[in-house]
Amino acid sequence: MNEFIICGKNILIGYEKKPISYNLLNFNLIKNKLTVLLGSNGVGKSTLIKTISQLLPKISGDIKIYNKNIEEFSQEELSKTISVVLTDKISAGGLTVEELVSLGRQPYTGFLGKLSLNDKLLVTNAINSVKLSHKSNSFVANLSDGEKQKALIAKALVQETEIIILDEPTAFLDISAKVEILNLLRDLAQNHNKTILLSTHDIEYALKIADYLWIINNDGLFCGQTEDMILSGKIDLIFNNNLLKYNILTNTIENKFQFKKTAFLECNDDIVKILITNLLKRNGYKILAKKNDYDILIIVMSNNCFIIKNRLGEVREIEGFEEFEKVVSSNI
Amino acid sequence: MQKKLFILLSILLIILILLNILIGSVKIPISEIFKILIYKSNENQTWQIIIMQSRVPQCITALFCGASLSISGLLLQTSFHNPLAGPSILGITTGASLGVAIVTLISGGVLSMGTFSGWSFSIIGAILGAFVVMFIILILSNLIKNNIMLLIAGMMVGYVASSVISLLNFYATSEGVHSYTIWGMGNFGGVSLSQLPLFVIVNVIGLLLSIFLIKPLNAMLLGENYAQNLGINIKRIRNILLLSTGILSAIVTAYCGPISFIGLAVPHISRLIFKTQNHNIILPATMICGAIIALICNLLSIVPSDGGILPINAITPIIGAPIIIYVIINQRKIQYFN
Repeated sequence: MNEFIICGKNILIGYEKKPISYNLLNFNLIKNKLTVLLGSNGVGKSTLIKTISQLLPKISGDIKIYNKNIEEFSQEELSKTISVVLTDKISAGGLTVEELVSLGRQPYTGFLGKLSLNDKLLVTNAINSVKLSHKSNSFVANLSDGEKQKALIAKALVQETEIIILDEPTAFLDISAKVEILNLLRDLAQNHNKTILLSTHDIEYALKIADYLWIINNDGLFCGQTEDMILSGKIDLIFNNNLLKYNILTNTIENKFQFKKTAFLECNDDIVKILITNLLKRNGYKILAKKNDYDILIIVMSNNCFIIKNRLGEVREIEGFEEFEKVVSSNI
Repeated sequence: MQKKLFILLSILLIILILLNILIGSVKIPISEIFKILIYKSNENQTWQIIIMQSRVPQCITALFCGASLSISGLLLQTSFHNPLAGPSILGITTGASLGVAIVTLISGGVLSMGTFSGWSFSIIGAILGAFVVMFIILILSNLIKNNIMLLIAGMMVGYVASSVISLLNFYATSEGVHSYTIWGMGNFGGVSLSQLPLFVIVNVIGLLLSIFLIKPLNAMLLGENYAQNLGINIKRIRNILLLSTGILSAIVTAYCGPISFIGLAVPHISRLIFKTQNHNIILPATMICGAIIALICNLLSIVPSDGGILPINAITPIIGAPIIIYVIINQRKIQYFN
């Protein structure tokens, strides 16, 4: 049985008593699992994240951590229960990575924030576990965006909280940094007893690593186990227009093109099939599943040689994708 | 490395304290000066008066002025996340000036700093003025999220205060205007030996308050949300910060006039020397650097050596402005600017 660590009931979120929407949000954050919050800009992802981490007061409803109302936590208790990684601009360029990570020990240190031997050990370990030890004496200003994000995650680690909440930790990162950060978070949830909630726009990556999904849109918050959510088609709730659709088979988000013509494809090579399908779709062809009533028939001979047959039965042999696109995009 | 720098700066500070006592417009033999300092009496009454009534208080005043203004600059720069914040830029010293102006100009120069009631009223005026401006800045900082815009808003508040001062000047008596103008030029010699204890005590209180802020200030480098998540009570810290900055800039301004650039430039000087933003180091470093810079300015002010003293506000911009320009030009290279 999964244990709930944070439970939200009938939450209204917003800034300064102005709700973002009048949907009442309900959620359960499950212990030692990685939960990903998905949603388009402006529907309240950051607001929800800040509300749960108690940086923003909720307008109404109840948030409980381990069955205790969040308001009953002192600020110090809270700082030892939830740590955050936010999108806020930090002006700590003149601190070393080690000094930045050490800030995470503040809830435990005394008047001047002096670190004990144990604190120092924790800081070194956290820097190692985010693979930043070669930079521990570098200034924060000289870090890449990905390294800065890792340093802030290390800060959250030394805070020794059960829950880590991250607001768009992969924003502005290049693809390898994104994957590295997400794998790191996955590892923390799976092997180090951390409960992680993160928001992101990188849907395809998120679906690979998330145990649970929370999807927020203008109609409210939808929560569930990742595969349940995918199978029930809830992923499409992320998109606030009808132009996008999630494709289960390829784990990609696809553009819904306006199709004007139909095509049937005969192809034995899976890779070429994917490529040709993509090419035809963007040129306005709907790919038919059955071989009848097509505008054009395409037979792939090799990965560089194609035969096109149109309605009138005219047959053309074409070499190369470039030539192929020229032909299918013209009226045939 | 940083320990060595602290030792080096402390030695420099001691040398500057001695130089400030040894050098002056009246030539006194060094051996006699040491005799006066040790035995507190000398056959030459004039020399003793010069040393004990003028040079020693002036030296101590400069030392505390420098430390206090620099600390209030540092506190403002960190809390507003703005490297160009400072008590004079944000209009806080102008607020204090307005308080003093109201007291000296409306009383027609009767309540000048020379008399007991004069200086007590001036100090109260300066503190009230500084606090009023700080509260306005604090309210504005909640409304204006953009740092540059906040600085400009602070400058506007300062301009409004200055224009009220001009109006007061226009209607004031010539004695009032004269004593206000002299005060406005900045002068470390404004604290007499009898006023010195109070001056020192108030400064020490303000500086001690700033030590309470070291840990939260480090957390605030990450922004308020992160600081709050680290267990910092933002409201309480803001209040202590307000109190500390207000006390420090008001007491200094009341006694020495609106001294520009020290509060703005010294935190940068200490960051450039110590190459860190960590307040455990930079806060004490800023105190020492501030005292050093103020003592250098005080030495430079006796350069004419014909008995006259240059106004401090003629010297501080010459030291401060080039440093600020250097920091702005090299903002990419100086890591703390990001």
